[in-house]
Amino acid sequence: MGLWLEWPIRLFCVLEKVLPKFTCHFLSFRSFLLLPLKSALWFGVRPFRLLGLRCVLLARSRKSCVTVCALIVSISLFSTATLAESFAVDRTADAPVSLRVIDAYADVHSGPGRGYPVLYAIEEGELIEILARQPGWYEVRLRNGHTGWVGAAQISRTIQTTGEPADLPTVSYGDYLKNSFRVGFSSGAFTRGELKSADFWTLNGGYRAISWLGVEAEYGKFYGDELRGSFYGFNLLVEPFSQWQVSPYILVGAGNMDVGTQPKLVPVEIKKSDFIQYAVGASYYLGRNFVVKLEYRSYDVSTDSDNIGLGAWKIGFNTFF
Amino acid sequence: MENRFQYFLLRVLRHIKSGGISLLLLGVLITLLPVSASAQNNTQANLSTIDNELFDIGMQVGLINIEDFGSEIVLGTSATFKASEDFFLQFNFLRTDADYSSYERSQGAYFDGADRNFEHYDLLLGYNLFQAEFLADSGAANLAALYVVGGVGNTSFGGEASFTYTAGVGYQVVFARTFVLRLDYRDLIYTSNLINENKTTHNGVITAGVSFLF
Repeated sequence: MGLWLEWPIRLFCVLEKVLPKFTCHFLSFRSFLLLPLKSALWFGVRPFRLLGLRCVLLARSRKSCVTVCALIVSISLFSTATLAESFAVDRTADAPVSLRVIDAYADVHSGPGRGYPVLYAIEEGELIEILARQPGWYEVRLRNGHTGWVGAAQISRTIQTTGEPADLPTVSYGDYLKNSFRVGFSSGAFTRGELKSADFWTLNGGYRAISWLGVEAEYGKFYGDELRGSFYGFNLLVEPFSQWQVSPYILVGAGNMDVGTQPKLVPVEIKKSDFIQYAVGASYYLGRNFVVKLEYRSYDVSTDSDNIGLGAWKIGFNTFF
Repeated sequence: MENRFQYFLLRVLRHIKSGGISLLLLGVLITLLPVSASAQNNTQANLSTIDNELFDIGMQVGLINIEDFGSEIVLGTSATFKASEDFFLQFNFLRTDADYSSYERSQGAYFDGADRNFEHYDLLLGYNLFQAEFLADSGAANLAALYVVGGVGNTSFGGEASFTYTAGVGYQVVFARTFVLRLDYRDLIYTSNLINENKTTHNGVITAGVSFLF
C-alpha cells in the first residue's frame, strides 16, 4: 500500500523539476531509485528462492502467506513514513550554501572541466554560493552575480559562514562512497568449464551501505560458439581497504543461469541452473565516483546430475552517485 | 520449563526454515536504507542538498546501415552517467524494422516477421577528448565536448542474438544549461551467420539526440 502512495508524490516532484527551473530538494535521484529496488526485492519471487528465502507465493500454508503479506504491507507503510521524514529533513535546508575562499585565489572556469577557459578568479576571503555539483566540479555564483565552475580541490579549501571548514570530501575513496548507489557494466570471457571461450557482458547495480561492504544485483548474457544464454545474480562485496586507490575485494553471491543452444543442438549439462559464485578482484579508483575493476570469478553450478565449475575473467566499470 | 524453552527454540527454528525470519531481517535492512541515507551528517545538511548533476536521459533519431541489408531510420533512447570529469558510462537502446534489401526484393526474403526487427542495446564507456565552447551566434557560449565511446552489447536481428562491440565518436553541446544535444557516429560490430558463416559485420549508425540533464 505504502509503496503505491509514493508514486503520486514522486511524479509531482518530477513535474515540478521539469516544468519550471524549480529544484525539488526532497527528490534526490537516490531515493527515487530506491523504490524499484525495494519493489524488485519484495516481489521478485525467484531471487528470494535463490537466497533461501520463501516469499508469498512459495509459502506453504495460507496462514504464513497472510503473515508475510501483513509483514510486507506494514514494512512498506513504515518505509513511507521514514521517507516522509527524510522529506521533512531536506525541506528545512533550502537556504543556499555560502562558502568563504581561504586559498590565495581560485580559478572559475566556464564549464566543469579543465579544458574550459578560466573566466574569473576569486580572491581570498570572497564569499561564493554553491549552486550545483558535477564529478570533480562545483558550480558557484560570485558576489557580482556571475556564475562559473570551480574544481573540487579548491572548493574543499573553503570555510562555511560559521567559520567551520566546508569539509567537502577530499580524496578518500571508500569513505566518500559510503551510502552510495552504483551502476556499471562489465565484459569478459569464460576460461574454464562448459562455457569456455564464451564472451559475456553484465549490467550491474548496487548499494554500498558501509565503506567496505556493498550489495549488488547483476544481469548478463553470454555468447559462445554454440551456447547462448543469460544469467543473473545477487552478490555481497567486501572491500576492506577501500581507502586505497587500488583496492582488493572479494565477492560472494548466488544466481541462476539459463543456457540455450544456437544454431545447432548440442548436449549441455547446464540448462536452467542455480549457481554460487566467488570472485577476487581489484578496484582502481580513477576518480572519486569512478572505478575500474579487474576480477576472476569462479562459478559452482548445480545441474541435475552433478555440480560443475566455471571460471571467468572480466573487466568492469562502475560509477557511484 | 525446559520443555517451554525447547518449544520456543523449535518454533524459532521452524520460522528460520520457512524463511520468515530472514525475510523480516531483509525487510528491516531495506527499511533502514533511506534512514541511513538521510541521516548522514546533520550538521552538513546544507552541503548535502547541493544539486548533483550526474545523469541525463534522452532520445535519438538517425540512420542505420545494416550490412547486407538496407539503410533504415532508427529510434533510440539512452541514459548517461557522468563518472568523472573525463569519463562517462552510457546505456543505449536502438530499434528499427529492416525493410527488404534490393537482393531480397528480386530473389525473395531471407526471413520474415519479427525476425526483421533490428534491436540493439549496449553499455559504453565514454571519454571526453576535447572540451570547448560552442558559439551558436555572437551571444552566450555553450559548453561542448568531442568524445569517443567504446563498449559491448547485444544485437538481435534475423533470429540471431549476437555479442556486439560498439565504437564511436560524438559531439555534444549543452543548451540552456540542462539540455544536451548529441551528434553521434557509431559502428556496431558483430559476427553474423545470416548470409555467410561467421561473417564480421559493420553496421554504421548516425544519430542526433536530445537529453535532459538532471
